[in-house]
Amino acid sequence: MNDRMSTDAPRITHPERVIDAASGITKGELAAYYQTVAPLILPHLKGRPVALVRAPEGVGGELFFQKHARHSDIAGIKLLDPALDPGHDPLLQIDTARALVGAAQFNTIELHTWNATSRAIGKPDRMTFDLDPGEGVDWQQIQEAALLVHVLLDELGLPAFVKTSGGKGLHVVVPLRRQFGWDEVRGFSRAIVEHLARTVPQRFVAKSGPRNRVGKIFPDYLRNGFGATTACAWSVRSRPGLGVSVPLAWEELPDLGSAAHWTVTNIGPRLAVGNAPWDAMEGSRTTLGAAMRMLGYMP
Amino acid sequence: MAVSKKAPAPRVLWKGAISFGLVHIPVALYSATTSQAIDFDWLDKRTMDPVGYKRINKKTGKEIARENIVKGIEYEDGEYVVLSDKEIADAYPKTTQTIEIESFVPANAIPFVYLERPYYVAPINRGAKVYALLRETLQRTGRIGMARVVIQTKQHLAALVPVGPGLVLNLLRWGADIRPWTDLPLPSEDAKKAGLRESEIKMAEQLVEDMSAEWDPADYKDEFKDEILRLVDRKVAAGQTETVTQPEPEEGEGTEGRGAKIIDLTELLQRSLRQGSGGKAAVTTSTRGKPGGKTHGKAGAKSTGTAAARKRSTAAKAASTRRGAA
Repeated sequence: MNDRMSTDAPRITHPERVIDAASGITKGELAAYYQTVAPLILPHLKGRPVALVRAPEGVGGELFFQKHARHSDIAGIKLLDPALDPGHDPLLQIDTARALVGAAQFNTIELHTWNATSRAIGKPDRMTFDLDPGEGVDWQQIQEAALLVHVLLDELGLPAFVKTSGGKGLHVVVPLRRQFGWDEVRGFSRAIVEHLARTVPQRFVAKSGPRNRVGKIFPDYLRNGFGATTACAWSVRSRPGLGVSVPLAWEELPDLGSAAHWTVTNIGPRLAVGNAPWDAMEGSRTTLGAAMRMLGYMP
Repeated sequence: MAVSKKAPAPRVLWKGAISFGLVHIPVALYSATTSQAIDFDWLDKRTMDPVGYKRINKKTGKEIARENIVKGIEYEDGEYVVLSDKEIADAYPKTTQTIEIESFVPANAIPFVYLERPYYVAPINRGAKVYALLRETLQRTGRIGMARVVIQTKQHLAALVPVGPGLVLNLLRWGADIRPWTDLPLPSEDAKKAGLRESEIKMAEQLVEDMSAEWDPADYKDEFKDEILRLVDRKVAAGQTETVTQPEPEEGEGTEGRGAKIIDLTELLQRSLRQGSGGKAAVTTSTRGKPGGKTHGKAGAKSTGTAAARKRSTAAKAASTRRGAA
């Protein structure tokens, strides 16, 4: 952090307040975390509408999921053109370390981003599959499910990147060229999940809802609709222990013990690795035509 | 073939091509046999618990963990050479994905003792016509193909035999695997020297003729198996049954079992796109039927991969300019 940033940083009130009993992390420490990871998280936040998960009473208390605001006290946060999401107050966007720490001052724990940037909000630039364990699913099954999703995406010629969710699951991200609109991308992501469930019914289901998926995994493609969001890389999760969502190299996945392997407490050494496992992401942005044809999906 | 009645949906075991000269016929192999043998599971008679095996260290008698087992070859009495899994894997023959025909020999040139495991061969990727051409030619010339093929890391000698509408690939034993019979007390090959009189041969021929019939495999059944199954049915009907609860697999075993399975699932997923499946298969097939489409599974998919990679590098340029603008 350079001096300008730190003097510019918003004041944190009640920095001593413990926000997570499990780890004993305070509001001040969480703000310091975001200040530290700003260079890593901002590339994932910049230019994208963001939703804030705020926990005024800390982890375990009531959570507020905020996508819109007519007015915000958060220093430096951007209120976007209301026309982007008609019928609502402006969407929010965090482009600077100041806004990031400002969000922490207003008890933000999690940051969730859209699959599109605000400049081209009609065309998603990534496709996300959220692998979250349902009842009766253990971590190893999640690991294997992610590997299988990777196999299928690879087979479709699609690049895939993985990160821990910081909670219980994994997020698989496919970087796209802005070619199709939301309906096509969401429809195709659904076709991929349906193909998975059809081919490996012993592991996957294509329907949401706990009744449909005891012991199985629903790779949530609903994250690919307009306005849907997923926890951003380096976002802290508002769960006991304060796990962090961390970009991974696929080779690292088999050795990882849990989706909350990294937390605000132990993230330190990982910061040196940073976004390196995802270095190839920008360069691998892909079109979807060939993959759609392979899967027999008509946009 | 008459076997197909109760067999489950055929599963592709191998994909590749029959190859000789400049001819190349994309085919898939399917298992031609299924084991119908009766399985007797062992149970503890006192508790009806299942009985299993343990690997033990023969010296200590204690169980040994899988990761502590290495593979050795006894090169002379009590003297071993230890080989790592990698060393063994490196010695595997290179998979060629071809049934490489080296010569065509008369159909009766191979003694029965050489025949080992049969596989059905079916054409894939519009190989049907050239497949039929080979089958027809073999039938007319009365020849079969002698081929080399690598299936699951093992190289085999095999005979490609036309049978009815199809071709069967019959794996053969290697010459070195057949024991010589020179030491057996066999009578002379010459009938006279063996002491046979012409009248005796006539009589025997007459007998054989009387007993001649067409062979129908359906006429023959494993009677032992039928007898056992009847016995089982009777006991079930009489309520003489036992409930056996399978214990939870041990940690190590379970993980490994699942590890093996995920490899299967990986292959299943990889194959799933090449074959097309489920409701949308029709669309997939029609796009694939285009001329210049895939000729043989693997190679086709690979080339799509590189095309995508090429596109990606242009995408990279576009992305970096975009980033500059942002």
